[in-house]
Amino acid sequence: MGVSRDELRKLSSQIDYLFDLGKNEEATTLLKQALNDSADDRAYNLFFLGEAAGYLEGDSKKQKNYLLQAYQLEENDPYLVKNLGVYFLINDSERKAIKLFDKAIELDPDDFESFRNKGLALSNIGREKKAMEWFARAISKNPLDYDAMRQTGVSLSKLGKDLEAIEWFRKALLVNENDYDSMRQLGISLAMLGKYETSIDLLKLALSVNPNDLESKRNLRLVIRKMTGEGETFLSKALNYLGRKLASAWRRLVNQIFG
Amino acid sequence: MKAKSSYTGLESVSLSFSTKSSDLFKLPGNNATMGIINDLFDSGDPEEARKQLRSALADISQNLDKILAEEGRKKDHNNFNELVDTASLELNLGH
Repeated sequence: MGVSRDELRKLSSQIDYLFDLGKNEEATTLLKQALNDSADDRAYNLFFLGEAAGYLEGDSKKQKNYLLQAYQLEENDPYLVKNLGVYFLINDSERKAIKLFDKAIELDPDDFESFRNKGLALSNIGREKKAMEWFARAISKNPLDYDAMRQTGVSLSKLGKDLEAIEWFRKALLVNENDYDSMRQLGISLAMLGKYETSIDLLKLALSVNPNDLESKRNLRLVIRKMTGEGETFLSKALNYLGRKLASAWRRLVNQIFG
Repeated sequence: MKAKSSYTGLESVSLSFSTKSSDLFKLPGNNATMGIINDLFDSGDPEEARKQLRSALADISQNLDKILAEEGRKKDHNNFNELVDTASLELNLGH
C-alpha cells in the first residue's frame, strides 16, 4: 500500500475543509489525488468514490452505494463506519446514524468526532440536553474541538438561551478564528437579543470568510428586516411569537420524555 | 464528509427573498474591512486575511463585552426586581 490510511484520512479532512469554505477547485484537485493515492486500498478507494459522487456530482444515491460497499468490505474500520453515519445524518436518517456512531465509538473510544456527531444527530431530533452531553464528551476528548463548542452554542440557542450560547461561540472562535459558522451563529444570537448592529458585523464577517454561506446571507436579510421592521405586521409578529412558543414547548416536551 | 448544523430563531412567517452580493454593500456595518478580508482570501494571502480577521474579531469582541455586561446587568436588575416584589409581598402579608 503506497499511502497509509492515516494519510488518507488526513487528506479526507482537508478535502472536507476546502469544500466547506467553497474552495472547490483546490478541493477537487485533492479529491482526485486521494482517488489516485487510494488505488491499492479498495475500501478507502470506494469511500473516496463516494465523496466524489457526493461533492462533484451531487448524486446522493451513488454516494450511498459506494459508502455501503466500503462499509461491507471493512465493517470494523471506525473511519468508514463514522462516515457512513455522517451520510445518514446529512440525509435525515438520524436513528441509523446514531447506531453507526455508537459502533464507531465502540471501535475507537477516543474518536471525539463520533461523540460530536452523535450529539449532532440528537440535536437534529430535538434532544438538546442529551446532545450537549455528547458535545461535552467530545470536548473532554479534544479540548480544541471548536465544532463541538459551536454546536453546544447552537443547542443553547435552540433552547432560547442566547446569552449562554454567545459564550460558546466565542470559545469556538478563540480556537479557530476562521470558523464562519460560529460568526454566523454569534450574529444570530446577538440579533435575538436585539443587538442588530453587532449582529450585522458578524454576519458580514462570516461572509468575508465564506462568501457562499447561504445561511449567513439568509440571516443577514432577516436581521435587516427585524431592524427596519420591514414586512412585519401585527399578525406576522403574533404568528412568529406563537410559532416560537410552540416550538420551544415541543422541544421541552421531547427533552422531558427522552432527555 | 463533515456534518454540522445551524439554527436561527429569526425566521419570519413568510420568507421569500434573494440576497445578491451587491446588496450586502448597501447594508450597515464595516464594509471596507469585510471587503478587504474577502479579497485577501481570494487573492491567496490567507495569512494577511487571518491577521485582518483577528483584528476585526477583536474589535467586535470589545463591543461584545459591553453587550454581555449590559445584558448581565439587565438580568441582575430583573432578579433584583423579583426580590423586591417578593419582599414587599412578604411585608404586606406580614401586616
